[in-house]
Amino acid sequence: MIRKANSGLFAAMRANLLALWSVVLFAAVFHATGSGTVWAQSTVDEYRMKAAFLFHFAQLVEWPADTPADGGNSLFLCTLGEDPFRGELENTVEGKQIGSRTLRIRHLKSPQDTRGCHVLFISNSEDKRMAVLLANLRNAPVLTVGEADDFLGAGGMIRFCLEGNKVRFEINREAAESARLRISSQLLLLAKNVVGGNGGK
Amino acid sequence: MFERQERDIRSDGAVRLVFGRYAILGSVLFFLFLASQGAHGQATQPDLTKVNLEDLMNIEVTSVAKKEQRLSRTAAAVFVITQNDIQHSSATNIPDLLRMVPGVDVAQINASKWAISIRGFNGQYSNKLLVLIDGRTVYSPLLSGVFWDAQDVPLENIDRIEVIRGPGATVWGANAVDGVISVITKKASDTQGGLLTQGVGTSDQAGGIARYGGKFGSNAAYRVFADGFAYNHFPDVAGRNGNDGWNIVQGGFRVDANASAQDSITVEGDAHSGNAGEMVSSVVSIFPPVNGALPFNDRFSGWNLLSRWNHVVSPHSETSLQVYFDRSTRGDGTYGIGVNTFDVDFQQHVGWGERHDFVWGGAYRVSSDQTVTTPRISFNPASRTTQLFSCFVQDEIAVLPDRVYLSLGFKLEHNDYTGFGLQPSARISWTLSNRNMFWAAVSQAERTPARSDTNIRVNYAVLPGPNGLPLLISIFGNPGFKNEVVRTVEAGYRTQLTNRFSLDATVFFNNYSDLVSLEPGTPFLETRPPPLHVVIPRFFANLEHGETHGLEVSANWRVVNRWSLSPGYSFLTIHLHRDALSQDLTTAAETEGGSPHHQAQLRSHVDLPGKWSWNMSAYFVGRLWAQGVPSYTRLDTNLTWQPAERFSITVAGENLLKDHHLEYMGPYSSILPSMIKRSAYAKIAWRF
Repeated sequence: MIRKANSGLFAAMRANLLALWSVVLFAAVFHATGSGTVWAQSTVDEYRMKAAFLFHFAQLVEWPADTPADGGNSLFLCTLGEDPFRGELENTVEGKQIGSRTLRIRHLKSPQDTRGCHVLFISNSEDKRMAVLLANLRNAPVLTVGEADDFLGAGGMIRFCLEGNKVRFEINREAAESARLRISSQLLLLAKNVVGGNGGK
Repeated sequence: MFERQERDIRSDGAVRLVFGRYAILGSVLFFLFLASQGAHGQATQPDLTKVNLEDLMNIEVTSVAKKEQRLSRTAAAVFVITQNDIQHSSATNIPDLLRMVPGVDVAQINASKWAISIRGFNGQYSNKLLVLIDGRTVYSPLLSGVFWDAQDVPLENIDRIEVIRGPGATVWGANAVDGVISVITKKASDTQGGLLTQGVGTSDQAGGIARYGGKFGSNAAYRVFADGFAYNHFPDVAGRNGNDGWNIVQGGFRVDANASAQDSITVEGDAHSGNAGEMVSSVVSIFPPVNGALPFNDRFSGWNLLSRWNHVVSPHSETSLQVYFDRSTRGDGTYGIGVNTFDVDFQQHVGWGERHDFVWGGAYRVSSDQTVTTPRISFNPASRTTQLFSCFVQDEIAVLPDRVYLSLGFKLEHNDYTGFGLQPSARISWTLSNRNMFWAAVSQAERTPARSDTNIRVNYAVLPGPNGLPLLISIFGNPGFKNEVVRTVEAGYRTQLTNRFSLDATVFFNNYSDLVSLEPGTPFLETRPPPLHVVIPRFFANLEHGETHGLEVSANWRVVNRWSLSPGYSFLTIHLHRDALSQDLTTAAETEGGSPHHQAQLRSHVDLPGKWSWNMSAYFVGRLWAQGVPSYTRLDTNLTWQPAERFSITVAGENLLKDHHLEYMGPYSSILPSMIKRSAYAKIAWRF
């Protein structure tokens, strides 16, 4: 008796559910085909986002005119140490145009290979030799980007940080200026923090 | 190190089979990967370089690193089931998701019921495990356990599930004896826009969610959702209809608002109603004495409303106040219960000087229950209100900043059954380098009595007696029931061996005292219900003690960029002993042989070219010798095609290796077990 009532109820439930979802799905198809691409932005992988940030950094920084241009019309974005981007640089920014130049990605194993890099992302895996590395790059026209806590203190130029779930960055203006890199005012304004240099906020 | 781990696992023949299968699978996957190198996937994601920097700064990112960072300093055995893990899993409910956590024992009883525990003592009402959903406890104060069939958090709404193995009582409170499972749902701002899913399958017959999220002005976001599902029945052990179909409908909402730069407020609630069929073995008639298993329909419903206010006092201090109300009712005719719970929880986090980081708080909970007296189950008194007061303080001391942290804390709790209890812990974490971390902890935790330990009577079975007098075997609660106590020593090591391989290992030793036993009482005559019969009583008592020890290992290996493997293994032994006064000859053995010695799992995730992804997971569970349940291996797989970011189709198969298998046959469980069937489903998801 109970079993019978039970299975009847199940059948009714299932029928109702199926009917409900069919209607809802039908409406969804209509909605989607009718309204075009109203795509609510969900979250993005952290390093995919940081790859896009690197692209914007490259756009908003000017290198001195006498920067050696080994690669002709290329702008080299290099990573040093273990690459946290795991292919996102290639997916997101490789081949993109910045002015007349094309962005190229290089993954470096050794600090000796940094010649020719315009932007150098230094992974946290280089933590131990970070200070030496940055000291060797001092005054070289390479935009150094990192994530280590004391990256700016050690002479790095831009440091990524997270605020909640959003990507932020800090700028060491003095380090950039001594390497004769010109960081656009837009980038300085958007920075969470600007240290060193004249007029730092 | 990995080879070593594999060798350990291979001492068990059945696991070797799994690894054998995976060796084949691995080579197939590897060739697929090689073949796919020419093709190029991931063309559908929007081009972020076309979005200006200001807008990029407003998009939230999912940060694996941040979680790992936070995790890497935690001096406890923590496993986090992430959104990715959930998406890659074939599981359609929380219990099946928990199978991926080493050290968690998940045994399905029938279509809707599970026995879930951490580090042993498994049962339908595992009472040494605390389960929270967004900070709301779903541990029943009436039956001391979790009704998993009523905990329907749509997987699409889950941000993560944090599983803490070992005592978490100092911060989380009573009953977090062997672990805490904390389900955390996404913020409303992370579920903006619409989502519709529809699944159809052989076991998970129909299910889906309709969800929409939007904004109130610029500082508040909301979501509303409705979901439901219907699971088909499984066969019973004899192959007949197990009468255990299961369905739920639920609706809910969540609002997150930033009231000011320092204040954020969350309000959320949901209401559900469901049915779960079951076969209940019980006394059919006292005279003539007949016991039998009859089909019943367990109906349950509930609703809850929770609000939380976080206030940032200063960069070094934060407070939160949480208040909730929860109502749940259920019954199948052989029992009927309802519980109202009101809970207030305050916490403050405050840095003091350079080296101290305090968390302290206080909580008050009042639970009021109503029960229906049936011929099978009754409570005396039938209705009762109990209160719980607690306060805790924990200080994290930077002994060597960024290297060595020492956490000292205790919780003082007062409950109506056993009065005051103290639950202290001391934990130390030692970060050897960016890639290596060691931790150790000693702690004490208590399982406090519930109404089922103190006030229940279950008429368990009837036997023919001398002179035609029926003998009614009844289990009685014990008003003098004490806390079950555990003292734990544990230690763990986490390492990121390379950028592609990480490993997390824990060993533990638990010492239990005042464990529950079932003691015989003096038989007495009873006239009601008629006819006259002799009651053979058995009482709960705290006359057992014992030790457990074990090992839990989990690893993540990103074999190539598109393929990752997550192996895990756990080992557990339980030794229980009777106290001198105990006459209980069975409970110790039933507990010792009711949890598997060995469990192992391997999960694989592959991103295939052309917007496909393929996941497989295999779970080996050792035999339960006290229950006659043989060891088994589950194999689940799913294939997902996501042609556009807003649309995906998944087909999945579960329990592929065998047509059906048994996972649990516990003693004293009045629910008859079902055979867990091989099943398949398809699911589409649409975002708009």
